[in-house]
Amino acid sequence: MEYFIHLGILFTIYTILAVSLNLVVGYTGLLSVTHAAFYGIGAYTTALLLTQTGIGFFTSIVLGVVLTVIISFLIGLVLSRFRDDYYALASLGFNVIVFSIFLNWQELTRGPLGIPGISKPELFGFSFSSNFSYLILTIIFAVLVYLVSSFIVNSSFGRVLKAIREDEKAIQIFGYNTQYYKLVIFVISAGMASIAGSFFASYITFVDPSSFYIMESIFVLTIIILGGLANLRGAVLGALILILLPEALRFVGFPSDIAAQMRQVIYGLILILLMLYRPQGLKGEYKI
Amino acid sequence: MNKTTNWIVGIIIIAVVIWFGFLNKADDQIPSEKETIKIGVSIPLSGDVAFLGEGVRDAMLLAKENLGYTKYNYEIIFEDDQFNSTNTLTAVNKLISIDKVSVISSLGSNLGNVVSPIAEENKIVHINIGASDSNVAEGYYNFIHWTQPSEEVRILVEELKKRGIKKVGIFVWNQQGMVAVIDEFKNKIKDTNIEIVAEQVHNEGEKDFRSSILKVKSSGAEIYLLATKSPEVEILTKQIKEAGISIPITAIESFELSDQIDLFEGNWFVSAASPLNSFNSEFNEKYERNPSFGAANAYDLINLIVMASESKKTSTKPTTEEIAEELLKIKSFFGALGELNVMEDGIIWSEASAKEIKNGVVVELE
Amino acid sequence: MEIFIQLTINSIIAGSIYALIALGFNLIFGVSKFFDLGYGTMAVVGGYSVLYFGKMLGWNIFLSILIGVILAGLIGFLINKFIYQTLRQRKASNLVLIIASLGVFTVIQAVTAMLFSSQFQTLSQNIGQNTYNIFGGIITQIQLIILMFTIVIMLALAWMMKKTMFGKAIKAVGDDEEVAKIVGIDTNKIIAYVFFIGSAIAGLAGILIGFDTGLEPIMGMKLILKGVVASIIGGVGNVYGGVAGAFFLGFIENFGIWKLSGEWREAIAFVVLILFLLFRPRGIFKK
Repeated sequence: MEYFIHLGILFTIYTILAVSLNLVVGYTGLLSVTHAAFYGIGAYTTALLLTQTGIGFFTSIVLGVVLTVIISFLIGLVLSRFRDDYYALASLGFNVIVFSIFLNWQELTRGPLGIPGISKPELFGFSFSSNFSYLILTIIFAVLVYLVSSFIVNSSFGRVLKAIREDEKAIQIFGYNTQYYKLVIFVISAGMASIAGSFFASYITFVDPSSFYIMESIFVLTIIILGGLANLRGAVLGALILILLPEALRFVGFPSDIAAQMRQVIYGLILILLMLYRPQGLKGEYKI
Repeated sequence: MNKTTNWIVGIIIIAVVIWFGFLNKADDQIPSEKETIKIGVSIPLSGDVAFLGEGVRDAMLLAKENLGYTKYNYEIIFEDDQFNSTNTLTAVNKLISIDKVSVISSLGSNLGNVVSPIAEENKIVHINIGASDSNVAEGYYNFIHWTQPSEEVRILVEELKKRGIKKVGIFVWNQQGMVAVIDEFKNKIKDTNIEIVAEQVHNEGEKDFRSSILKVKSSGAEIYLLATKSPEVEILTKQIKEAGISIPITAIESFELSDQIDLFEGNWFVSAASPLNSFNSEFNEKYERNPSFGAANAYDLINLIVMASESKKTSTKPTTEEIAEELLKIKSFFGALGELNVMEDGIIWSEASAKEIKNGVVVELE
Repeated sequence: MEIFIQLTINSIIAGSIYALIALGFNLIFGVSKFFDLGYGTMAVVGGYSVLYFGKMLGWNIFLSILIGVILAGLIGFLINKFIYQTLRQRKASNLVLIIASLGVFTVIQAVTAMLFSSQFQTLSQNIGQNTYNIFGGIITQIQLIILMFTIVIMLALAWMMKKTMFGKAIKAVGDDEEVAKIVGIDTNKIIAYVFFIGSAIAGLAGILIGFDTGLEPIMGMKLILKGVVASIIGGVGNVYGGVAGAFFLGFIENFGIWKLSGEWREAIAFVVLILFLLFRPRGIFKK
C-alpha cells in the first residue's frame, strides 16, 4: 500500500511539473528544456531553510518561489530573444549552468555531498510525517496549480499565448508586446516548478544536484508530449503513464543484466513511435 | 500501410519485446520447504554508472552461488535506480511493501541518506555500500560497509610523512565519496607540514585532463594524488605519462581495481577494503573482468547477512530485529576484504593499509 | 611560455575531435535542417564496431576500422530512411524530428550497453605511445592522427561541395529544398547520402576517440552537445564555420580551465553557447 501511496506522491509532483511546463511549451510554443533548474531551486531552497534555519516548510515554499521568480526572470529575459531550435538550445544551456552551480558552489549547496535530513512539513502542530498525509498535501497543491493554469489558458492572456505559438509575427503586428507575454508565462511556470521542488525535497529528505540535470527536463518534456501539448488533462495523463510504465515493467522480470537497459529501449521506442504515428500525443490538440 | 496498420505494428513490437521479457523471467521459484529471506538491492543498472551497479550485482550473485548448505533460502531482488534519488526511493518502497524484504542494500552516501530514514522507520535492515557519510548508519537497523575516510586518510598521511613528502597535487572526482575523503585529508594535514599545492576537480565522465595536468605540474607538487576511480584514473595516468611527467602518483584504492594495473607500476597507494586475491581471481574467472568499486563489499554483504540469519537458534526465519542484533555481534569475519568487524555504531570496519604495485601485482609495503 | 604552448596544443587536440563531430553534424543539418540528437551515437556505433571486430574477434585492425566507419554510415542512413524521411514527408515540424532523434539516441545507447556492458573500454593496448615534441609542447601519435583526419576530411568535403555535381546538389537542397525538387534533384536521395557520409564521419570520430582515450555507450550525449555548441559558434550549416567553432571551443575550454577548475568545463561551454546565441546567432562567420 505504501508503494502505491509513494507512486501517488510522485505522480502529483510530476503533474505540477508537467502542467506548468505545458504552459510554456504547449500553449506558447516555446521549447523550454530547463524546467529541472527551477525544480531544483525550489528543492534546494526548502532543503537549506529547513536544515539550517527554523523557517517552516510552507514559508520555504514561498521563499523558494520568490527566488525562482527572480532567477527565471533573468533567464527568461535572455531566452525571450530566441525562437524555436535556438530557444531550446539556450534553455538547455541554462539548465547545465544552474546544475553546475548546484554541483560546484559547495559552500552553499555542499555540492555532490547533498543536503540530508530535510524534515517533513508541520502546520499548527500537525506533522505531515505519514506518507498518506503527505499525499493529501501534494494533491491539494497539484489541484491548485491545475486550477490556476486552467484559469490562465482560458483567459484572454491565454489566447494571446496561443496566438504567439501559432504566429508570433502576426500578433506583434496587432501591437502585442510578445516578449512581455513570453516572459510572464515563463516566470509563472518556473514558480510552479519551484513548488514541486519544495515538495520533492521534504518528501525524499535528501537533495543532491543529480536530480536536476537535463535528463529530468527532458523527462517532463516527454510527459507533456505523450499526454498531448496544450492540453492540461493530457499533461496529467502523461504523468500517470510515465510514472506507472517503468513500474509495470519492473514486474515483467527481464533477466537482471539487461532489465534496466531494456526499459531504456522501450522508452526510446515509445518516443520514436509516438513521433511517427501520433505526434500530437494522446489528448493533444496541438500537432507539433 | 495505413495508419491503423502502423498502430498495430507498433503495439506488436512493444508487446513482443515485453513477452520476450516474460519468457526469460528469472526462475526463482525453488520448490522447497525452506523459508526464504529476501534481500532487496537498489543499485544503478543503467545510466552513467551502471558498471558500478553491475559489479555489485555480479559479486552478490557470485556470493549466492558459493553458499553451501543454508537453513533458509536467500532470494536477492535487484532494482535499478540509475543512481538517482527519486528512483531509489521508488525502488525501496517497492522492495519493502511489495516484495517484503528483510534486508535492503544501497550504494553510496547520497542514496544511503535517502534509504536510512525509511529503513529505520520500517524496521528493515539496511546495509549500505560505499557511504563515507556516517550519518547513513544512524539508527539500529542501518549499517555501512565501507572503510571510512578517516581511516583511509590516516594511512595516507602516515605514508606521506614517512616519505617526507610535503607538496601534494590533487585530482579529485566531484563525487560525494572522494570529496569526503579530500575534506578529511585537508582536516588532518592542518597540524602537519604537508600542504596541497594544487587541486583540480573533475566531473563524472571526464576524458580530457591535459590542461588540468598542466596546471598541477606547474604547481611543483612532489606527488599527485588521484582521488578518482576507473576509468578516469587510467585516462588521467596515461595523459600524465604522455605529458612526459614522471612525478610519482598515488591513489585511494583505485589502482588495484584497474584492468590496466601495469599503468601504475612502481607506485604506492592507500588500500582500503582491498579484495583478497582469491576474490579477485574468482570474479575474474566468472565474469572476465576485474571487480569494480564496492563489489567485494557486496560479496561480503551477502555472506554477513547469511551468517547473521543462520546464527539464531530458532526454527522459523529470524525477524529483522534479530538479524540486526546478530549482525552487530559479528567480529573477526573473514570475507573478500580480509578481516571485518561490525562496530556498535553500525559501521562494518575493515582496516586500510598502504600497498604498492610491483611487477604488475599488489603487494604490501614493508 | 611552455605552458602557453602546451595549452594551445591541448586546445587544438580537443578542438579537432569536436571539429570532426561538427563537420558531420553540420553537413546533415545543412540538408535536413534539424538538430539530430541521435548523431552522437553514430560515433558509438563506429567505435564499438572496431571493438567487436578488431579486439574481440581479432580481425585486422584496418579492416575493422573500415567496417566501423561503413557500419556507422549505414546505420545513420537506415535511421534516416525509416524514421526521419517518413517524418519529413509528412511535413513534421522540427520539434517532432528532434524528439524522434532523442528516441533514437536512447535506443542505440541502451542496446550498445546491453551488448557490450556500460564499462569503459579502450581500443588501444599500448601504454607507451609515441609522443612528439612541438615547440616544447607534447602531442601523441594518435592525437596527431586525429588532427590530420580532421584537416583531410574538411578539405575533402570542401572540394566535394565546390567541385562535384553531388556537392552542388547538396548545397541546392540546403538552400531551398522545394526549389531543388523543382529543378529535378532527387532530394530524398541526396539527403540519404548525406546522412551516410555524415554518420560515417561520426563513426570515424568515435573510433579515433576510442584509440585516444576509450569508449563508453553514453559518450554520444557529450559529443553531440559539443558538436552543437561548435556548430552554433561557427554558424550552423556552415562546414568551415563548424570547424572554426570547434577549435574556438577547444581553446576557451582549456584556457578557461586554467583559470577555473575542471569541474566548470561543461558550464563554460554553455555560457559560450548562450553568449553566441545572444550576440552572434549566425556564428563567427556571416554565412
